[in-house]
Amino acid sequence: MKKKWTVIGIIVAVIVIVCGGVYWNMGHSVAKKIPGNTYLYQSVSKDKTLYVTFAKSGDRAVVNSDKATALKAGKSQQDFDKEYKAQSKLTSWNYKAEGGTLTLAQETKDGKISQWQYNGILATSKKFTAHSFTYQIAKAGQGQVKSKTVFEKIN
Amino acid sequence: MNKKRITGAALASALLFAPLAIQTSTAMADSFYTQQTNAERADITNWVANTTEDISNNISAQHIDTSNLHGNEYIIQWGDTLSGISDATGIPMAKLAYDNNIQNIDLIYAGDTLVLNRDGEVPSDWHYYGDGVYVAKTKVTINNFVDNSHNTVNINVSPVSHEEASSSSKSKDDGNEYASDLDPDGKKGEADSDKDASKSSSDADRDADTDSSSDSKSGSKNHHSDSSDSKSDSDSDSEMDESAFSDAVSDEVSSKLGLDDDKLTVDFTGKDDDDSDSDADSDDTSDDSDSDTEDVYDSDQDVSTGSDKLTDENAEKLADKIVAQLKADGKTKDIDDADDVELTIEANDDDFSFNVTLTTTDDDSDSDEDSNSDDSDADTDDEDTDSEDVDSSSDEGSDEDTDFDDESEDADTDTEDEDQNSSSDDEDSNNQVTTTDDENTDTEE
Repeated sequence: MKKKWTVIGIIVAVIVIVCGGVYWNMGHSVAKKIPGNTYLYQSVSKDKTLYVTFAKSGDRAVVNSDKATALKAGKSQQDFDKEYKAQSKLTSWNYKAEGGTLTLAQETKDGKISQWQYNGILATSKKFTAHSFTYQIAKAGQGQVKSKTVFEKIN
Repeated sequence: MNKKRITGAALASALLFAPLAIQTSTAMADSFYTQQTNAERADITNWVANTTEDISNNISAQHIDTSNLHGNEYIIQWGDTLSGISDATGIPMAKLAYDNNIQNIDLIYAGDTLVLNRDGEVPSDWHYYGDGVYVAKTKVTINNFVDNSHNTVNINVSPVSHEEASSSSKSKDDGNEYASDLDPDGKKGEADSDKDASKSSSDADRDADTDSSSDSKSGSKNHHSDSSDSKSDSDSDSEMDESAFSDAVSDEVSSKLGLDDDKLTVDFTGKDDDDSDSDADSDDTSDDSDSDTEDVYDSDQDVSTGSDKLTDENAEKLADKIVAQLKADGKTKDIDDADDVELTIEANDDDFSFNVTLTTTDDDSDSDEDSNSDDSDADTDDEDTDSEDVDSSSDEGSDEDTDFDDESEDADTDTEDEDQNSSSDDEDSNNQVTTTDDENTDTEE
């Protein structure tokens, strides 16, 4: 009887450790998963979409509401550079991912910086989900929104 | 007894619910913003330009037939750009700008109404500037904080270097970095934005982007700055005397413009001083024949800091506003090039007005420098009016030079201000810098 409970205990512990490990990994892997990929982001109200292509290396990102542009940027480094350059005439986008956090920063030509930091990210190979986001938008406002947002990989 | 109770209860209820009722009526003011949550307003998609197709869909969603546009009114959506709207409708940007009195086509606001009209022509003397590629901005501050100058959110994982971010956010060049230009304090923004949104955009109030000089379009921008006066200013520091205030402004301006300390002199005239006028428009001293003096602006520029106190904080604010305006108007290069820079500041009621006099000394004239340096009134505005007044039609000419400074991104795109006309009736409506106070209340939900 005692042995039975011991076995059950071990099994539960293993399950907890495995699940915990998977969960922990999902919560800390966004930085590894996004480089070189293109994601579809749907707005909180679900009526708008944008596409983000993250550079394979470095901190640059191409952010566009045109899918073709985003996908093209994800094709090769050369294409990425080209699209990034085109985008940077107006605004440049950079990103930083660390742990379960991803921040997208927009800098306009006049040096105004806006940032959206997605917190509590759980990332899988197909998408990542943020549980809240913090924003600092130049000439607009700052705060935190506790809404779930999803970035879906499309390439 | 019963009557008393009822009266008491009614009074208590009124007191209890009055704020709610007031808030509700304010909140209902601008349906575009109030129908959205903070989450929707802050969404990143709002700050990425819509494709032409998206804009076409937006237009269709408002039951507007793009093949038949005769004064239809379109409510600008998040992510819209004027160039995108132009592409989606086939109406040239100049026509859109003209019909809607938009001078700076890079500065449009979500929720504003845009008249779409294929009919009619654009007068040849109509000028606008910008590329029309910037997305619509917000007229209200998206904010969870009552005072967002001191409560900042924590972006701890940032691709932007700390210095960059803080210089961006602390560059109060335009007041509060994280407050809408049109929303110096949240509630007001809502109220005004309501007015704007509800009226046809051909009205004067599209002035956010328009400037100035031209006739009627001076509207809400100035409004805002005026109304911002009512805000309680948070200058807690003790007041200083005029010369200390002038020094403080001088230090701030010098450091922000990267000028040598001895290059810039500030001539500050307090509210109570009588000689202000003579200072401001004083005429040239002819003795500096070997040096050119030139006023940067033909008329003094109004700057509002929301307070007229002579405090350190206000000095900094004032310096920020002045620098922001100079940058926005593309004057910094002229200032760099000048040998001496004199900043004349005059305190009005709750505002300040300023002008900058640049002195360029000829190589051979050593003696003049001396005479200029202390000669604060040695401004001649004659020179620029002669040489730079290109436009014969004074009214039209003046619009292009007097852009709204609050959007410094536009600064690059425009125009030399040198050809500002000095038609005096216009001058006040120009270049009003709105006071963005720190008291941004959060937007309604």
